[in-house]
Amino acid sequence: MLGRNCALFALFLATTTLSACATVVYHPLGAIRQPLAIEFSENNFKDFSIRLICEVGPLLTSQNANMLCGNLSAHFEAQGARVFVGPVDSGEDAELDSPNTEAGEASVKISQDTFVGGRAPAKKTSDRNIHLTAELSAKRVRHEQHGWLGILFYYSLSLIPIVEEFTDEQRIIIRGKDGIVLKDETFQMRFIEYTGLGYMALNAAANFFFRSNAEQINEDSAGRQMTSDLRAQMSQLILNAGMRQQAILMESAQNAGRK
Amino acid sequence: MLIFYLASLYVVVPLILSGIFDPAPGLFRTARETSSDAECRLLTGEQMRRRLSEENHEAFPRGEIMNEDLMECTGRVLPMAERRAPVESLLSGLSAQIPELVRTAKLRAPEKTLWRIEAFHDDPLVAEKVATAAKTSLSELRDSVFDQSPVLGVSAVAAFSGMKITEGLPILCREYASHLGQNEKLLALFQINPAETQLHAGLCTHTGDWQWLL
Repeated sequence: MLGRNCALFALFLATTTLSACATVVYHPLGAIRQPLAIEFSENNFKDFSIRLICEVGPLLTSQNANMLCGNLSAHFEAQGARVFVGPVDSGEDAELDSPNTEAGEASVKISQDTFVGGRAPAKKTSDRNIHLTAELSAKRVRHEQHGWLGILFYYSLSLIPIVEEFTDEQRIIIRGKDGIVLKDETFQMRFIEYTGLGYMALNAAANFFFRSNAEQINEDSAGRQMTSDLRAQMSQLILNAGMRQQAILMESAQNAGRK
Repeated sequence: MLIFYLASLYVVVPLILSGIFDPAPGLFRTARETSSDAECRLLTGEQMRRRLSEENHEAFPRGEIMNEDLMECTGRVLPMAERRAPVESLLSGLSAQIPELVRTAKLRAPEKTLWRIEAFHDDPLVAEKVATAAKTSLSELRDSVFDQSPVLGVSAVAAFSGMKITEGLPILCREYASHLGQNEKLLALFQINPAETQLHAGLCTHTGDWQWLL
């Protein structure tokens, strides 16, 4: 009896250890993989002032929101934009509107408690620059877990994997300087998590024999690919919104001229 | 025998579970194949019920207990790499953008307007596709569209080619004006920046007035 219990305990211990062998697959859905016209360049956002607001929610903790906004901020700054993180405060507002401020001079302020909610963007404007506010929010729209696989997972010593699926939505709203919504896009991403030695072994073999370096699926590939897709689509959205803003400014200037 | 059983479990079960028909990347599909073959999106709740009713799918008599979500995948007509990415991104969005721009143009014009369309793009083939899409969209709304746009003099075209499109179009409109009849309007479609994936539009009247369409 004792021997049987010991064996069961050993089985439990071994399987629990093997449950750390998780492989996450990233499946981009819909618009997140649409082709882009923008290419990475230092001058893409030369005249742009961008305010990023990453809203904290059930999926995006304040730490994740900080990381996301910080990551995007660095990405846009590398393309010549002046970036502010978090809702408007009066000091930044003045700096944002100052025509003499050089690109890159602006400091990026990240504070955990500034991410909650979003406020209307700056009211004061300078016609030389394109002022945009990008609000990002994320939510989980689907979570599916096949419970019966858990039983098989234990009895097969993790040869049969546990499969868990998540589908997340990332909504991006870009507003112009008067608060007008210039772009409102929602991206969907699906993640499939396979836990178990069986899948891990096959995946390692596929990585070794069939997949190129860029296509390999490993522990951090899902996050890396998703971030890369999101940054690329965000750049395109920001540029499109900026051009739309420019058209609005030209129409306003034309109307003012007529009056 | 046990070893054989375990070995086959190692190979067969994960293969089946990874989903032969699942469009996600995995053991059967690389990430590149996934995005170039089909575009998928998740339909939930109301979206799914609407889609199934469009396809005359009969609801199960005891309700949809098992099927709560639906993954809808559409195969691409042309593989991703067939056209240049900037062209692909513009053309794949035409069906959504053009009707919207045409509707906005119609709001700014009297009812019996005769339309002329001019599209501006570095690639003349793309410009033609954009113009054709706009003509088709106007025809579908039972509007009269000229098949050809006015031909400008060499000097006007040469002057325009050295300018930014946003500065040049109002000037070009004055050149077009002499070719337009009293009830005619020219709808111009263009991109401000070649790196954007959207179109902008403007209206030119017979008096040489240029109007931005937003």
